[in-house]
Amino acid sequence: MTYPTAVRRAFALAGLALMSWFDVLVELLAFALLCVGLVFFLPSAILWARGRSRRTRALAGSWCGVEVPDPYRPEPPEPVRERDGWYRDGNQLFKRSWWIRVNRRINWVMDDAAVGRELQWQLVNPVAGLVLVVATVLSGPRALRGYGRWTRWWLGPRAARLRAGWRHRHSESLGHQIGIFVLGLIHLVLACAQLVALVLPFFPALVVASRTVPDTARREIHNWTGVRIPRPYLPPPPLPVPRADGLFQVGKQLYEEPWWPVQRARFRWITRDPATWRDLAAAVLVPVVSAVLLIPTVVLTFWGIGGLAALWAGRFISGWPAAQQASAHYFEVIGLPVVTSLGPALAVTPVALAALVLGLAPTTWLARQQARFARLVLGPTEAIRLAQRVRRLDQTRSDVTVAQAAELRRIERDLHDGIQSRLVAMGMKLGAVEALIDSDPAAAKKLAADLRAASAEALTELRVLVRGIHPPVLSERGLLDAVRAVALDSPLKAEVTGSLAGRVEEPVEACAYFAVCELLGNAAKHGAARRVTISLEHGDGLLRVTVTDDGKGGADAARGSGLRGIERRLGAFDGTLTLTSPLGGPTEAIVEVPCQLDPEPSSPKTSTSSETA
Amino acid sequence: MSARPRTVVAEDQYLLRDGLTHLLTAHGFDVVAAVGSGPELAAALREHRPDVSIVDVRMPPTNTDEGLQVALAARRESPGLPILVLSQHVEQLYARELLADGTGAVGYLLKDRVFNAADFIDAVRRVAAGGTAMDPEVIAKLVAGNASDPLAALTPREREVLALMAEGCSNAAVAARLHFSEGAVGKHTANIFAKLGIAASDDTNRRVLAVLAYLSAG
Repeated sequence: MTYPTAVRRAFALAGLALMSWFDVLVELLAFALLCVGLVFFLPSAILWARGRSRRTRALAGSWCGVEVPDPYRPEPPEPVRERDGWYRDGNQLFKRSWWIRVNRRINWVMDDAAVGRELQWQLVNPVAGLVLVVATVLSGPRALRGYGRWTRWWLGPRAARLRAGWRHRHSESLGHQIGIFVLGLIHLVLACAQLVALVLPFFPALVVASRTVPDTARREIHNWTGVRIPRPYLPPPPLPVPRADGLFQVGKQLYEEPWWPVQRARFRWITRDPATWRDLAAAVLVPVVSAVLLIPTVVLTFWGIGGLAALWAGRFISGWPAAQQASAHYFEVIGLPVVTSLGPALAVTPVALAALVLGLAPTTWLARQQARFARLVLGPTEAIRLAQRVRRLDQTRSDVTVAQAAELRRIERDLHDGIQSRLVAMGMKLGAVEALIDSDPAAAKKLAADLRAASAEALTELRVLVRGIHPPVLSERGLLDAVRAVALDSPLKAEVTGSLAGRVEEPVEACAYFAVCELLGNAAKHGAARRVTISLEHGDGLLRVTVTDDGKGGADAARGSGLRGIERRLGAFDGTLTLTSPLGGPTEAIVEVPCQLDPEPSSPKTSTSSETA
Repeated sequence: MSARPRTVVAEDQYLLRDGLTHLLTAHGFDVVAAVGSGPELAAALREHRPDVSIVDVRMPPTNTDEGLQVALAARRESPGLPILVLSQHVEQLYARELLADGTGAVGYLLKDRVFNAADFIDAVRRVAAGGTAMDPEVIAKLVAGNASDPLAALTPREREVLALMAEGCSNAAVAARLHFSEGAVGKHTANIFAKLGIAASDDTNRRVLAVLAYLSAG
């Protein structure tokens, strides 16, 4: 590459780089639209801006000699129309697929780590372009190569960092602190609206609608800090039941239409639910407490950053008197001596750095304290928790009774159609053997051989049936080895880790075992997985089994009847199934059942033998 | 081994225990002890040092895998003690545990296999002689699983031969089952040993090692 070509290319690249500020402007505009609820524009703006980075990547390859591959995640799959003509996304049905497509694209774009990097690149790249022009004029084509590497660093694929650094984690926690505060503020606004609407008939509707905000707070607080806040609300009232004459009775009053009884029941439901009032209290308390916990951090952090900026950024653009003046003014405000020369600047820098570190250090802890406080007011009280538990157990108990009756029916049918009829056939053949044994020994011999085969078949059938009721390996070895055995039989590469310090209670054991079987089967059948890891642990009175596969994800508990079945069975033991399965995988299913461990290896069970030695 | 192999039978159900004793005696085995529980089995194995034992997995007092545990403990104490385990169901997990020490002289069969007396006695003799007898159902489950890395080098035909070897078939038996000459089987087994990196030693031991490789690949 000749020197003039290099300079020409440098200018072209710098021009292209300058344009990315325009992209940033467009993206900011789209973000502003997102803030007022128009969500469609941001992904489009980001995808549009990719045109510029794609061009830069191509030029880095052809002009600078540095190939830069695309870093983006693969596009989401097209929605598939189901057999009944609807498109389905989670629990929602759609006539047309465009909304699902838009939604998936939004998630696809926003979840991509490359997007954040690209945005930063767009901000700093014009400066880099200017540097490139100067450097190329001074040193020729070598500078172009440097620019290519710079582009690859920003726009190339990068392995995801497994563990974020200290600064990253603590800044993130600061973000979480602010997030909890902001959610609290939004909640406060809605709470004010509720108070205004208290006397109006649409009060229940408003309360129910605005519960999405505390619900969001509960969910996000769990995601951010790991503090789990259960929903405290009472279930909605049942529909009013008409009397025999078709009228609806409320107190001493009869109504022809159910409208008023429904309104009344809903009003009572909302106003009698302590969680409604606790939510209102939370709307005031959470922002206040968050603010108190947030202020020292924010002040220290900004003091540190502002100090550093005034000390050093002002220095670099010292030709700009306005900046110098501003920095001097800044120092007065934050109480540092006015620094104009290099020596004091070096001396004051550690103070500003210390303020920054001191501000960031407790953020993780503070965010958790905010979350704990939020749990105090947004979570259920002990009484509500117990009531919820009783209700859930009540529900699942009837589910389980029905399921058990069905199971017994199935076993009865299998025994009746299979083994019983086989035994009858065998008995008849035995009779024939008896009759033939003297007259036609050869035929009798053949029949006897048939009989032997038939008895083997009956045994095989019985074995399958027994395995479905209660796998023998489970009663012989307990949960861990039974899971190992099923992992060995699985067509997937399955790895079982973990340890249990004793036997799990027998019914829970069987329940967890069948859940693992179902999850393994799903991973192989629907998830197109190749590897599965299963881990078992027991702690704090909770058995936790985690099944993770490398399949294509997209599993939905609301969708699969198998997953529903697991949930129902677990429900009988107050257990839960938590499923994380983003499109593209990996799928992680966590089965949690409260239970105790029996430290004895195993207690003697009733003997099944017909005779004891 | 003496002309009449000394045998211990451990089975908690009286009818089956009696049946096994009669069957083995009729086929020239000397049943020195017939027991019905785990502790009795442990004592009998220690006392008689039998040439071969037939052991049921589930026995009193725990009615869990008592028989298997006693068998494994006895084989840890005296490696290569010939034991044939019988069970109402077969698990790869148990098969691996039995084969794990690599000393051979183990069998693991479904109880149904007793129906075919000739095959069953053949399996007992094989185990007594230091070979293996694995239930076809265990092997079938293995074949159903993904054949992975160590076995990837094998041809389908070699894999078939290995599956039969895993059941415990001799070269002659494999030849009969697959309808080709014993020489061809010998060639296949040599190839299998070479591909799995099993060094030359006595043939029985190599077969056990090959089966182990097969199991650990499942």
